[in-house]
Amino acid sequence: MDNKELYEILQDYAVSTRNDKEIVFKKLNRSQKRVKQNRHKPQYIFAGLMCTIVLVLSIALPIALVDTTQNNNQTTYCSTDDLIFNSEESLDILINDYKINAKYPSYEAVMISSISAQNSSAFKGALLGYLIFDDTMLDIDLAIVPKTHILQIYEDYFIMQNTIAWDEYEVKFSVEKTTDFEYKLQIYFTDDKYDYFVTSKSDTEIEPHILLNLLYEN
Amino acid sequence: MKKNLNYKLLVTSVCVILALLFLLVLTVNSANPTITYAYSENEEVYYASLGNSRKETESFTYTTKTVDSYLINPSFPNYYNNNGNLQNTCANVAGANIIGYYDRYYDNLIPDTATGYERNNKYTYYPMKYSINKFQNVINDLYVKMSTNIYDVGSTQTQYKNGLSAYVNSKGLSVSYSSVLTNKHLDLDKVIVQLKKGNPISLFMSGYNFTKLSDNGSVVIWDKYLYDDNHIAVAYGYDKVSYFNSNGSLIRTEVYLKVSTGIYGVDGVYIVNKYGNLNDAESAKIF
Repeated sequence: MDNKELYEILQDYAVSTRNDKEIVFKKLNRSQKRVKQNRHKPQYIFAGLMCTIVLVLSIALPIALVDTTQNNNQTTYCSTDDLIFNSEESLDILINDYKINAKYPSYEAVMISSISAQNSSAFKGALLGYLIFDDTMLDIDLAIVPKTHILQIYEDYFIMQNTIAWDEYEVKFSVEKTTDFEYKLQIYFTDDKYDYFVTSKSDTEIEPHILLNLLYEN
Repeated sequence: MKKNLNYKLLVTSVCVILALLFLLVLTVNSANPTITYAYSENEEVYYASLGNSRKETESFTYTTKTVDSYLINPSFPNYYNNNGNLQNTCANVAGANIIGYYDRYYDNLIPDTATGYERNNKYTYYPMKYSINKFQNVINDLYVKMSTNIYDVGSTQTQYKNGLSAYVNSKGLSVSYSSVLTNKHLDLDKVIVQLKKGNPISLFMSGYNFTKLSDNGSVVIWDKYLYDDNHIAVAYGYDKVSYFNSNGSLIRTEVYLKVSTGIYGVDGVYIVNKYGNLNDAESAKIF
């Protein structure tokens, strides 16, 4: 249909309505405008959706990126700066006040400390120190940490490769000659409630089962 | 009406661009947290180590090496704060380590206890647990004398030196300090002079590394623990190691400082010029 035909049809239509031409064509123009406006609606909806998606992502993505190392369903991670050490009078305080019912060595500790964490008020661990003098000094630390928490300073103990069986436990250990005058022995074992981290420094190399027998007087 | 529609489209586009920018900024900030160090109003650094680190491993190979080294003693006090009421104590602990070291020569510095023992011509310093209350008392005393946490979080270098001097003076002794920096860089010749005089060196650091070093004769592995806070540690020895390839050409030279870190469970060496800023380094001589 060309323009001439269309013009004639529109003129016939105007006559048939018996209304003023201006009024008839005004209605037509109005509906044309409506069509024009409706044509932009999908663009606004699309833009709105895009805005929403971008805003949701801008909030969700950073949270997802930041919290990958912190959020663990099972354990709370405590970095070195979170830890607070405090001298305690006796083992009874650890057992009765802090309810740390763990496997304590029978050898008498010269240092009894509690470990707490700034980022986790529920956390209570123990740090016990032993000094055994023979020809030289054997310097031993035992940290007792609830399995609900992982301390940054003991992360490396979990990945030690050497193992022995001791008592009823599978014990992981590593020996390192730190200087010409010092051997460092690290031991890790665990029960159903606590992780046990033993660190000893001595002039001569010492076997892990000997050290554990010494502490627990097996 | 057409102009009005274009205006709405323009506003929508601007909103989308702003939202995208917002997303970009948030994501970048999350991936690379800004490192800020605490400075006081007069720009003096406050040292208040938090001890939070991240680990990076680096390795390299070599064929031969030469080592130049010196330790003022094979062991050195490495105390840590064991008083849960005190915080930001790195300056106090560093001062206590220096006092513990000199107690061998001036036994009234820490009354009623020895800080080590001698056997077979070798002097070994006791760990903190040997006399935990007496060693902790030194840290507590220095906490007050260094005015720690009074004006800001931690202690400045000036407060550290004033507090250490006050403690030493209270025992009828004196202390002198000597910087081992030249043009704001560690001067190894000065370090060697001071260590050979038996004077330990306080390191004032903004960002630092404590590194576990392993060397099997051809491969060196550095497990570097990198810290982004302000910390004071005490150096008591050094290794200057030059590494060569199979052609005998020098590959690299590294300076390792043996340090008492002052952080429980953290030991190793400080590798010079590998991470952070060394603001100052001063030897301390008690006499």
